[in-house]
Amino acid sequence: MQILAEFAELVEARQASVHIDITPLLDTHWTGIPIVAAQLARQFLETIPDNTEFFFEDQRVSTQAVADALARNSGIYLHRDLFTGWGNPGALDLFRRPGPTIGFFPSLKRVRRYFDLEFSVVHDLSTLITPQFHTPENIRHHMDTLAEDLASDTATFCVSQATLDDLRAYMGVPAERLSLMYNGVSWPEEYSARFESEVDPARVEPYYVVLGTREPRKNAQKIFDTLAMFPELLDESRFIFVGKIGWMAEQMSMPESLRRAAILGRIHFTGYVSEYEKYKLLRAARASIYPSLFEGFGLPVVESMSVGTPCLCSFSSSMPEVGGEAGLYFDPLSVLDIYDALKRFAALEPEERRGVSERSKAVASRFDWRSSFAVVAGRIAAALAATDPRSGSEARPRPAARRKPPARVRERAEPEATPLPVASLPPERPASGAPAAETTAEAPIAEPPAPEPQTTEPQAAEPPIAEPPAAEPRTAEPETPELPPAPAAVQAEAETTQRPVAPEATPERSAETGPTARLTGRIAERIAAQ
Amino acid sequence: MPLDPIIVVSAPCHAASYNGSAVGPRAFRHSQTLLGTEAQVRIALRAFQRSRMRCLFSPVPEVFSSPASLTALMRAAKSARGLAERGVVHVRFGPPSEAKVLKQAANMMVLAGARRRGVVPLGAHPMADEASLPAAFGVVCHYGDPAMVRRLGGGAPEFRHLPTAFVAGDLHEEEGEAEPALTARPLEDGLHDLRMQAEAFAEFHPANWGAAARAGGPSTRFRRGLMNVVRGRRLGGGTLGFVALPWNLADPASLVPELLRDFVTFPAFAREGLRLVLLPYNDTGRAGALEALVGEIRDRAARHGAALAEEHLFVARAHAIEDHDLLAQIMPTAIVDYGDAEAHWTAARLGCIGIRPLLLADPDAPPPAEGIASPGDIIALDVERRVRCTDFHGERIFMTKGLSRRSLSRLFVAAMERAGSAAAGAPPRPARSADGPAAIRQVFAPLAEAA
Repeated sequence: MQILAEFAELVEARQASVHIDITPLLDTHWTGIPIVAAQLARQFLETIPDNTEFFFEDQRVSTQAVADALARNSGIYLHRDLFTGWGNPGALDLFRRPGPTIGFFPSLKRVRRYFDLEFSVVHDLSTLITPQFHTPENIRHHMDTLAEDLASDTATFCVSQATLDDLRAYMGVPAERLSLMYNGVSWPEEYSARFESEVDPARVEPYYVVLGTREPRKNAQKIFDTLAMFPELLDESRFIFVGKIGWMAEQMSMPESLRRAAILGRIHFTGYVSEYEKYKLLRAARASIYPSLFEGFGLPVVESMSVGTPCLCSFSSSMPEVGGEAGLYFDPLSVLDIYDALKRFAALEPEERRGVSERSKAVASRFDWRSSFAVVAGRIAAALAATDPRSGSEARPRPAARRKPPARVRERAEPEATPLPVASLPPERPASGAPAAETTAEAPIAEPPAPEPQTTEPQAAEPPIAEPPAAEPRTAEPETPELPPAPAAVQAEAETTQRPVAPEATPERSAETGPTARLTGRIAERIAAQ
Repeated sequence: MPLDPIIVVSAPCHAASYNGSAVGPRAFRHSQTLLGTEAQVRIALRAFQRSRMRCLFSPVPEVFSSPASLTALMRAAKSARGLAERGVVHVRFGPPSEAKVLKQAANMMVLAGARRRGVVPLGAHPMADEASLPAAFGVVCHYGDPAMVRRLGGGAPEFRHLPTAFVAGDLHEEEGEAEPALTARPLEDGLHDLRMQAEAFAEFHPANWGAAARAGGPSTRFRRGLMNVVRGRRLGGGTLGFVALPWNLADPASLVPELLRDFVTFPAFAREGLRLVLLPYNDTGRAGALEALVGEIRDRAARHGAALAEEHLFVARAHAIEDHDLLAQIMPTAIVDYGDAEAHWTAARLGCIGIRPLLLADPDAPPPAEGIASPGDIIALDVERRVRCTDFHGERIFMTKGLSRRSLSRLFVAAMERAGSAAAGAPPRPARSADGPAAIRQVFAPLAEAA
């Protein structure tokens, strides 16, 4: 995408660094928010590999450790590596950067007002709007920082229009500070071939899949109630409940009348399943049912549709927005409505069902990570374009001696930044007191995994960066390329984010027609067009 | 002429007990008709119906967001016209901290009173201060004191005063009404078909206290107490009536649990014939708190003999409007914690049906309005009290006042005097509300235009 290329150019020109919070990636099993965080991390690494860094609270996290987690689709080793020190090259040092620092938080912010520009993703406001479905600890975890997170954001990304509207309706966040960034769905390419070699759909007994963590908000109880009231549904199809047990699951109970159906296997609970098992269960299903009472996005709806399995889902919150014209909606509180939807779907002719399946795929194809990331990149670029070209939003003096060399040179100069491939992970962790940098430097170097972009190019031709003399007055410093003032649209953006363009970036001091300026203008135009 | 909007009423409730995200006004479920948001919603729905306004009740207004869901809403309202032609007005009841928005509607909050206690939230939940409303609420209607609320994101909402029809709207006596209106009867006549659920603390069982209204009458022990009141009255006022103790479970700093503890710690008042009837309300999602309190008091009372929990402490709720006229004879007086945010409405409501409230009020706070209580009805709170609680809104400290032993004694003596004198007298005539559907329409007309 052109906008991504331009974003990468701008980041490079400004010597900006994007720092991604890895907190969601520390989960062992990635579902929901960790998946979103992982996909966005992959996109950043793919688009601006030299300018992407990772952090946790005030500590840096080794890019290699994150790449390893991304390859495994699990944060189990990332968690270990971070807290044993191996994946932690040291403190997050933001004071010696040559360009603006950008913090990207895929979910809640554990720290705020660290970076020149900060962006976070709000996935839903369910702890505020439907606290009855959450534990007090969970509510406190989300609510204690919400207002401050929003206030410290340059812009906040919302995963659906419904969530964006919620932020406006409840928290009063101005629309211009919010951006809509849908989640995406992507399955590894091999899943399809593997499925076709393993499953003969004609021989699969018809079943509905109910996908989602087992917690009261997901409203599986209404499906139980529907089956208890209309047991003939169990004669026609099996019902497979897929998902781990979540909080407050004890509040849900299967009616006694359904125990026998569970024993006979007409109702089945799988618990947590791997990504491929989820894919397989979804793709082979007659349809999926998603009765959730409240969602910020509704990833299971798109996941189901992406494999061509129609989704019968609740008309609540974001789900109709995500399911579009292919979704089959029902009232999440009405047993009769759920029953009607199931009967209506069962009565469809094979041709009609194929039509729904095709429409589902078409709707799901709108949700891809590249497009979502383009929104993120565009918004960051617009904010970046509006900052003081020398130092981000604040025109603070930076001693020349402290300036960071370009990424590739830095790699060579700092041994701890040397990427370590997944295959070469040392079998034993260093002692807790051992410096992490030394350990990494000694590790064998091999071909890095796909998302990891560095070190394969020869670097000998790169001249070493001479250590500049001690700090001088700012005016005498060799500056990063000077930029013209941001265009009107971008300036408006800057005002809303309360990061005014510094006085240095005046027309007198800036070249109005430089390549970076033209780039900034193009990005601003694109953002305005979006 | 623009069409009337569809009014969607919502309040904290047990959503799973509904079979639809929006239901007709008659499908609204309530466990009692006397106090709290249940009574307020019931009155409002009835008022809208009388005003010939199309209204619905939604247990989950937050689910409506997209055109698909709003179409379902219009279908539930049986409206052939589209949303754009009619518009939707959402009227929310309950505490501000539990306010929900109905998107794509004009949102209006109805507050039964104003917060009088200082709250210090230890966390940063945006609604923990009990005075912050979601930004979408443009209008706040209040019954009595001017509400002190602000909107998140900045700005104050527009305030409107509700007509008294919202306090006593269901007590109106009008021709052709589907529900029987309130008429004062002697207690002897209504005793046998009383549909009030009432049990002694010793008999209380949470299973009998579900969310839905129960048609069962009072327990034998409570009936025996009522018979004593009737007999005493025949004999010239020998037996004290009961003293009502409304308890707002949504108020974490309520004085009521402390009063009950004091009552069993100092059983002298019980020995002199004082009987308290706990009237819990706003108990959605808080049934556990009622169970815990009754259990605790029962255990404490056991140290002073079985009679306390069997004969002197009751828990009750009224199911039928028709029985409200008897309540004033059963419980001639009530002790109302005036620090509670809903106290204004509670006191006014009790006054309307003839129960004279004794207000426990902070002398440093604004005094109750004239129509609510006379100076003789106020017992001043005189000791500092800090209540720390943890709930959905995080950890909070409420700065409030309590009763010293001296004031406690004064309170119980005053309650006994009133319970005795009223029991000896004729049944009081319930107050009537002067305004009706026209006043209600007047309040909502500007909103209808906005919607």
